[in-house]
Amino acid sequence: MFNLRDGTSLVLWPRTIVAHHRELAPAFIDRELHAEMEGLALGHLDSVSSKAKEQLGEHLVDAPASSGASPIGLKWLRDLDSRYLGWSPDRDRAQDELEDLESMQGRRRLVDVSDGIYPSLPASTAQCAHLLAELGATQIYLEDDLDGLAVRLAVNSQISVVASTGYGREFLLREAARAGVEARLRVVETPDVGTCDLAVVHTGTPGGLRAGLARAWRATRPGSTIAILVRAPWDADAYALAQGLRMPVGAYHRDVVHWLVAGTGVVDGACDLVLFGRPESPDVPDSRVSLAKQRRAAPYLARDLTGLVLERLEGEPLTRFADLLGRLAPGIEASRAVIQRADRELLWWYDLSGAGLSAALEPKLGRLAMTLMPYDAQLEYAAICAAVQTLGGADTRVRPIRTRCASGENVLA
Amino acid sequence: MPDPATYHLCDGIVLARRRGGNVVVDLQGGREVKVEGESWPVLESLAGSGSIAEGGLCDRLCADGITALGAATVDGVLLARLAHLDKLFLGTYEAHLSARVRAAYDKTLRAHARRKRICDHVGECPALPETCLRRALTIGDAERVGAQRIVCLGDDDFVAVALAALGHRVTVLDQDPLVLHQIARINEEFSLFIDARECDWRDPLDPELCGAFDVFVTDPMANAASFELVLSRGAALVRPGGTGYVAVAQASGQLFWRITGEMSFAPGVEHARFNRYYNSRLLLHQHESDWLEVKTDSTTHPKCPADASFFSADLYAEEFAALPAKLLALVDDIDTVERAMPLYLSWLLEHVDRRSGLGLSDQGSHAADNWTALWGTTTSGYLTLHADRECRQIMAELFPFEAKVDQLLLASILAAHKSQGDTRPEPQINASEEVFDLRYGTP
Repeated sequence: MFNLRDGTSLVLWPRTIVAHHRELAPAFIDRELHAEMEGLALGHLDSVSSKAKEQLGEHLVDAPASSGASPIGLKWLRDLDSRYLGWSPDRDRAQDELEDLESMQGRRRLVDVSDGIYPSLPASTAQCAHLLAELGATQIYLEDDLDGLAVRLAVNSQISVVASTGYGREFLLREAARAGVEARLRVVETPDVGTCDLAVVHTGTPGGLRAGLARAWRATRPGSTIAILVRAPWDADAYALAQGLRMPVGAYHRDVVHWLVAGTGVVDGACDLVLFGRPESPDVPDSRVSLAKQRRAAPYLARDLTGLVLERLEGEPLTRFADLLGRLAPGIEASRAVIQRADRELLWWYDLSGAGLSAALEPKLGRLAMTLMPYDAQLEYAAICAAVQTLGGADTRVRPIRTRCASGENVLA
Repeated sequence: MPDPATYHLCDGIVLARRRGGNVVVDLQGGREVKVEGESWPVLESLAGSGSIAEGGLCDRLCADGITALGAATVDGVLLARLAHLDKLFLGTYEAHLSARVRAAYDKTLRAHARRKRICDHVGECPALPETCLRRALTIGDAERVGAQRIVCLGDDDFVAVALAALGHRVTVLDQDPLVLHQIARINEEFSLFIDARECDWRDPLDPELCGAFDVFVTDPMANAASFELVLSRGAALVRPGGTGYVAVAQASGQLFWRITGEMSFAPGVEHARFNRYYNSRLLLHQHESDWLEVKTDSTTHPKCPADASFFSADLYAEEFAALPAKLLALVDDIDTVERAMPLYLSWLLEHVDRRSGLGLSDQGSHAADNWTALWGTTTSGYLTLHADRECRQIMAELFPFEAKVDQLLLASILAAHKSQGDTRPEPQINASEEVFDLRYGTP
């Protein structure tokens, strides 16, 4: 019986699937094998196609499925948790919860990053769960939970959660059963109207946020709380939208959520958790936002990586980076140019829609400076992932992009 | 000579020493006044002791709302602003703090609210009081971990206050008279005993201090010389088996670990993205840093011996943080889409190149139905232009930022594409120290 190798996890990108293992080279799998990969990740498959076997290579083993978290992956998660959020003064109190979330994340064999929602550090999820649980909500609506937040919150509340993939649905149900909260967690396609007193929404593009808010609006009653995970560069747009909807800020928690850059062992920036009041107004946000307006909200963004591995910067590093970016990016590559200068290498890369980036690599400093112009959030995530995988290592750091606004007020110099 | 009168800087007034000159920041009035000549030493004196005989100048400053008669107290405006910034982070865990830890935080906050001068020009950016509390908590409450003998190598962040309030025996070695004066005031106000000594660490250490501490704490500039100095002094000040905590900018981590390795420090716990700072406008600073623990043992050896002087010209340079600034610009709602085509845009770049001596070469472009991108290298960097005809937007990137070229580039784009509408840039939205973000004509 074929199964994924212990320690291998799959990342679903918009146009490909990548198998990662800390000790093996990544493998690229055709997106059309999506259903088969979901089955493998769940340990459900009796047989595996020859194409899948060929593409997975060493990531596939003829052995029973492992039901626990991979020790390698678990150690990696615990190290990152300790490094980024190990200081929290209430960490000791919540240690059991954190270990549960780390194990849950470690058991997850497939992550879908094709919708612009990305996995977080378990310690971030633990903090969010703790802050949300304090609200005492009885019915909670969540979307696209990659981290097990729904399972954690189901300890005290009734949960309705939307899962974007079949794997996500099965995973949440299994984990709920494992935690003994299956009676309080439902995976739904759309929320029941007006049943919840808390909804959790992610900021994405302005259009994505409006669509998410519209669903949260339907799910909740007036007087409820809508929690938004606010991330730069969308913070100003999110607050403007909330202000327009007369949503008062109830509480604000900065830098709570740290994203994992899928398959790399590196952590990206941070999101703020902002708790808004859901007003009486019957208005549902309009989800139609033109591309021009979307770009106006975030026309470009500079991202830097430091601590790149010097040995990996030899040869034609930006060509290797562009090759991987071409696979992970949401759009098909339309154009690339690489120019070598004495002190740096330069790259311009664009997809068919016109989204793209310029990148300047300074090998002596071990630094890559990218400018996404025009900005595309999914391309940004793909570019960071591609850069870490081709040029970086365990010590590589992504310079965080922090929100300028807190509760609508500019707080960053 | 008459007795000196006592004045103080009014609430909400902060002195900022910046690279471009000395500035009085009026937080409440939202104004910044450049100060030249002899007024500055008087103002600095007021930021410290407050006693001054120069009545005439102070009277004029009183009339301007910058100073007032009487002794300085905790600045209520600074207190409120700092508490507000702290709350952004503190709210996440505040409910779980013990009364004793909470009191340590309150004291640290009040100490910061007495700070009326910030030296931006030497990279001074104070850590938030909330950060200082967490720094102290990484060492622990003396009631739980026992009272530690702690030396702060420099302490413009007033971490010593949080540490002393948690029961530790704290010595501060700093060369800034204002910091030493503030700590003396804090000792008095909170009945703490922080031993604050004037000390230039470049000089040989007082032999009595060597090996006298369990822990050293420091937040140095991010460069090799500065790391070598603080680690040498830290290693000499603590006993074998002692611990150090150092704030290190994330880009400098590899350098820091290389130098600690050379001195045979053992690496301890790493806290990433731990330290948050504020600037003289009482906003969160762009800079943030890690909090790294190092441990000494019998093999740890300072690069600069305790009885030797340290010589370096580079102590105040941020070696890794400083990327040259780049320009990013959006010209929105262009009114001449037909001129946002590849040929016109390349003419525009040619024109800018000829007029500015940009040295454009290695040019390339990609043209699709609705968008065009053009790029090229310049003498010192590169330039990118992106036109989206469907969105009626043109974006430009120039690295590094050069004011004259930027003006010419933007003036050329505006002249060609914004015959109507507002052509003044919007307030910078995503501007940071490394990005000049200009947006024109947003509808």
